[in-house]
Amino acid sequence: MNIDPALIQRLSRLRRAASTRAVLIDVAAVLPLAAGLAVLSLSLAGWLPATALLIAATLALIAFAIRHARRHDQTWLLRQLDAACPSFEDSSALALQSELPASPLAVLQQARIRNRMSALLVSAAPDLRAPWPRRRLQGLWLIGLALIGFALLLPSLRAVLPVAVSTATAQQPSGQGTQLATIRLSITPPAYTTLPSRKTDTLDAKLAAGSQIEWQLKLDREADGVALSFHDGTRLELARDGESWRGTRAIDSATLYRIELRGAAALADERGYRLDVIADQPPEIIVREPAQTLTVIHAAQAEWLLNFEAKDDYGLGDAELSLSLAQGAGDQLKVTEQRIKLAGDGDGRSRRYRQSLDLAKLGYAQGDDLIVRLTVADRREPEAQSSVSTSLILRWPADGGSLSEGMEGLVQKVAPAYFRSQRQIIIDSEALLAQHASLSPQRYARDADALGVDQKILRLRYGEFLGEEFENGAPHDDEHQQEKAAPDGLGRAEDVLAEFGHEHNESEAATLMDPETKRLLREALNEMWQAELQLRQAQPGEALPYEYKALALIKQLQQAERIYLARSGLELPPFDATRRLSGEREGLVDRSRMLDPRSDDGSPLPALLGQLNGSARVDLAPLLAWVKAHPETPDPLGLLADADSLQRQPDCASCRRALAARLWPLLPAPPAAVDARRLPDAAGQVWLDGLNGLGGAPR
Amino acid sequence: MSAALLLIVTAMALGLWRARGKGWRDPAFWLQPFAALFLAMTVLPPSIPIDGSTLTVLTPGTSAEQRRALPWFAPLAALPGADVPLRADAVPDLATALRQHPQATALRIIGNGLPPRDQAASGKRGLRFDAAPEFGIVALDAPSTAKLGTQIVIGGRVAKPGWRVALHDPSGAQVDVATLDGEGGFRLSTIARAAGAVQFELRAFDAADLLIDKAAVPLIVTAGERLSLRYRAGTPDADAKYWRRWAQDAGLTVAYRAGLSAGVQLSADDASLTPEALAASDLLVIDDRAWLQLGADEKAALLAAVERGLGLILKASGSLDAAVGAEWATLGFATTPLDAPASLTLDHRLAMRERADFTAAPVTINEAANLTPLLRADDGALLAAWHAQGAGRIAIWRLLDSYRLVLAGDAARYAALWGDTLAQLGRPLPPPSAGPQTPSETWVDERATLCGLGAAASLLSPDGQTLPLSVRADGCAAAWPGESGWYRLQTGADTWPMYVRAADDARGLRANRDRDATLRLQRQPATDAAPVRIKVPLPRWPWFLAWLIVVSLLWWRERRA
Repeated sequence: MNIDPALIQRLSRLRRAASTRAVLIDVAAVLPLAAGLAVLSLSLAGWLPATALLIAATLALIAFAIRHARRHDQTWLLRQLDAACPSFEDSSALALQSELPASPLAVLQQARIRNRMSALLVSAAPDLRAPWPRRRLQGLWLIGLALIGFALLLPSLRAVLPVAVSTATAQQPSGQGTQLATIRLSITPPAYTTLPSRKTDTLDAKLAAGSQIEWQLKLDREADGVALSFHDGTRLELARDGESWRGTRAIDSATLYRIELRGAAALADERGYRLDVIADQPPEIIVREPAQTLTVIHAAQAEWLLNFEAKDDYGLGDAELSLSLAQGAGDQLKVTEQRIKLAGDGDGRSRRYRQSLDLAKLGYAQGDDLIVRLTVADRREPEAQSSVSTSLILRWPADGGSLSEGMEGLVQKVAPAYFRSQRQIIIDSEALLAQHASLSPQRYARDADALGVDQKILRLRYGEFLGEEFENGAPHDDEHQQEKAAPDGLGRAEDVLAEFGHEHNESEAATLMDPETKRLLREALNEMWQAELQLRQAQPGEALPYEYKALALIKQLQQAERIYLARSGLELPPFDATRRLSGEREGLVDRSRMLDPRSDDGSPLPALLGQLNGSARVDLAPLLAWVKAHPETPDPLGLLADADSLQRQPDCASCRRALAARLWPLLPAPPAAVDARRLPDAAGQVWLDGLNGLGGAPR
Repeated sequence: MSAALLLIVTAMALGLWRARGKGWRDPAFWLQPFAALFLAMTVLPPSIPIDGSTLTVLTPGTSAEQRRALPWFAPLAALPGADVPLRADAVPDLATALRQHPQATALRIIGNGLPPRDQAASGKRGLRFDAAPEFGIVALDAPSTAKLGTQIVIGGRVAKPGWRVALHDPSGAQVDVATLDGEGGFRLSTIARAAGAVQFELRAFDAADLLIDKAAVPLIVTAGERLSLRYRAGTPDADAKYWRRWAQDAGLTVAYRAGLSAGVQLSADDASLTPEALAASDLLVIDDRAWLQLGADEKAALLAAVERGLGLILKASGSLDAAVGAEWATLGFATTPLDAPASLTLDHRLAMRERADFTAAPVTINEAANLTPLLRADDGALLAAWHAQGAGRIAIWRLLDSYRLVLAGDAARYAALWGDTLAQLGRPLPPPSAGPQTPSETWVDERATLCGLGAAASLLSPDGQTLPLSVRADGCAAAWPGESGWYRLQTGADTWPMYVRAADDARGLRANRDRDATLRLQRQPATDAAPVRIKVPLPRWPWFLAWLIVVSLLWWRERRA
């Protein structure tokens, strides 16, 4: 006879229920304690130990659950059934035995109990679940809630009972000084850097230039005001916000600051805190192609391939390729500029720019130079930094015999300083005309003559550019007509000039001017000459038209883009040949020549170092002034911080040593000192006297 | 003792009583007496007779091999700083160890040797010393004082695994570095940049660039003497120009006169050679052309001044005029003319790192018995020499272009060359007060003996605390400095700096000092000294261990049962 499956199902349900109840009781007991402890450790020590605690509790619960499942087995069930139902007559085990017992009595009893069991389990199943341990659970929940409440109230308890809770730990290191209960620095880098904002809990920080810092400080006691005092003398008053003090500032350069309190004892840790700044670097440009800066075009080249790579620490901005096409050779150089925006490919911080220049389209021809530079900006705000690559030159060599060979070094922009005073002469002439009535005729003539002299000087200066001598004032065209009359075709032009012995043009200067410039200069000189003529004759009114014409011509000259200057050599003062080898000694006297004092005298650092090595109080004002005057000092902040801490604690021997060590590398190289020979001591003197008494040499 | 014995016997009887039912076959029955026996040995370890005549003393630095080779049955003491093996007694000093072992007639010292504290304690006992191998910086040859701005040369030797030595300045920056030569020697140099008590540091590294030892190099840098010099030259030249520049920068006063033309002179200050002016000067440099122009009275005044202490440098600026050569020969400097100026090098003398060529005037200085060489070229040619004349000294100098050193950026060597020269030839000045005698090397927590103190003296620690010294009648006092750094010894109104090394500073030097001192203390024990038998209890811990094992076995059996 088999067991009724419904019975088995029921029994196993009973068993499961009991096991579940045991697990639930465990959970109910562990949960309040675990939660309470977790909240407490969260408020005391952070989330890490709290999480660890919760994980441990969960693992323990799982282990308990497995144990319960094992314990609530068939044997346990039978024992419980026997205990719970006297009607089973301690024969549950027999009832649930699957095979038939040996004795007929037992078979009978088995059937009897099975029937009772089926009936009882359907009508009134015994409750085998352990009862809820109410009192114990109540106690545990109370403890858990108390823990949570304590943890939540802890910060306010700390504030209310500073003596009881916090100063017990705070007083150990530093007496009565105020402590910072919470330090929070929120650092927001400038948006363009795309760096994330971050928070630190130290007062020192290293941050990108231009970052915004928000200080959020909580003191362990009440204060009337909190201010940050920076080493450059500025202050930042922090505003009260509940229990904490807040303030915001943008930091552009490395700085040192200290926290100053009003209405409370000074901070226990009074040192200066440093904010180091990581400066935004300008973009870095690497030229990948062409490999060298000067490329000579080869015959069949139709385009020029350029390849740049640019990197920046925070992000690249616009890139622009500037093309300068220098056309024409030598004197007739003409430059056209053109700009091309490049997009490039790559990410924000590193990009590649490839550009192929169509040479024919640019009008590039033989003898031309194409000069290319890439300008890349970054995204710095408020104004971007930009870098310029090296100039890359594509050269198409001109025909042989070009004048431009070897002249590169001489190309200079000529400042039009020489030509400026023509306008002044015009102004002066007009002023003189206006005063005509009020001045005596002699005075008028003299002033006009002086103006004429000015005009002459100006003309001579121009003449230098042509290598001409305009001393005589005669119209020189006549002379040139004579020269033109010289027999032609007998030789080269220079030879002819040499033969006739009248060379106006300094050969070097003459070759340096393009014909157009020369023509303009010559015309301007002619006009000036006419103006001078009229001025010398006291007729400034007549001179004015010429002056205006000269000015107009000069304006045209200034618009010429480049001019080639003649080389100028060393100019020594004139040599007085008359005194040479004459034997005359008149005027020769003894000369006194004292040496100048040392150039690096006056550094306050050696004296300061001496004071630091002593024990007297040190005046640090000269050091601060010196640091200000020498911005190239490496790590000035560290120096200032050490000076600052010594200033705060003049008795601190280790501060003295730290500052002295910082000063050492900054000391000027001292002049080498000299020791003197020393007199021998008494015994040595007797020995020497004895030697001398012997009359001989010491050895 | 008897109580303990009674206890053990009782315990044994009790154990046997409890195990009686188990019969003699049961291990518990016969393990019981063993447990009691081992307990007895632990409480009352047996003694064995050993030879106690030699006391072995372990000092710091004992190597692992030496520790392995220690005898098993011999009295063993370990001084502070040494690793204490289980069978050794840790003692605070040697005297304590000797009180504990009064029978010891001989000592065997192992390790770096006895520190100064214990050196006197060995008395007349025989002493044998097994020195530990030397390590770190074992020799340091550094000046204790230096003149401001001069080259400081620091030499020394590093023991075997050393490879490289670096010199760090007071700010901690490395200023010089050298690889060790075959014997481990090194030579480093730097410049004293500031006056006062400064502290450099040597660091020795091995081939793997691990720091093996470091040693502070304390140095007292003083400002120079403000000598008064005169320079008379026949004509202005580059050498005089750089010489004047150097002398003025060094704080010396230079009166200078050089001829420009007949009767026309270039001068700075009054360089006349009157007796009064010479009496106030310390040194005169004069070249052969200026000598030629000296009047007889000037020469007489000059030589008289030299007799009274003036230094005189006769500088040959070219081939010497015959009259000058004869006069200089009467002054003790016989010369032989050469055809052309000599080219030479001074790399060795000046410890140059790059080869530099110099020129000497075309005369040779004849070696003479009374001449002291001052400067020799690398090939041995005499470039300068001096002899005493009365209280003063006269030198001849034929190097023409020492200023090349300045041009080559070696102003410090130039200064060293001329500074040395002036310090040998100038007028002798009374030496500066020597001050109290302080020990050359002092470590923290070692007794420092200071002598030559006045009636009262005190020591100012680096942290600014004053330690009064109790000065004995002979003017000596002792101090136990407790921290490292520059102390200031105050006697009356004067203060004298004194450097105290940190305990871990210059360990190699300290070990070497102790080793040398202990080696000197070595002496043979009396030959006929009979071995002294003493009874030494065996160590307790093996008995205890055996007892523990037996008891554990018993316990385990009982649990299983």
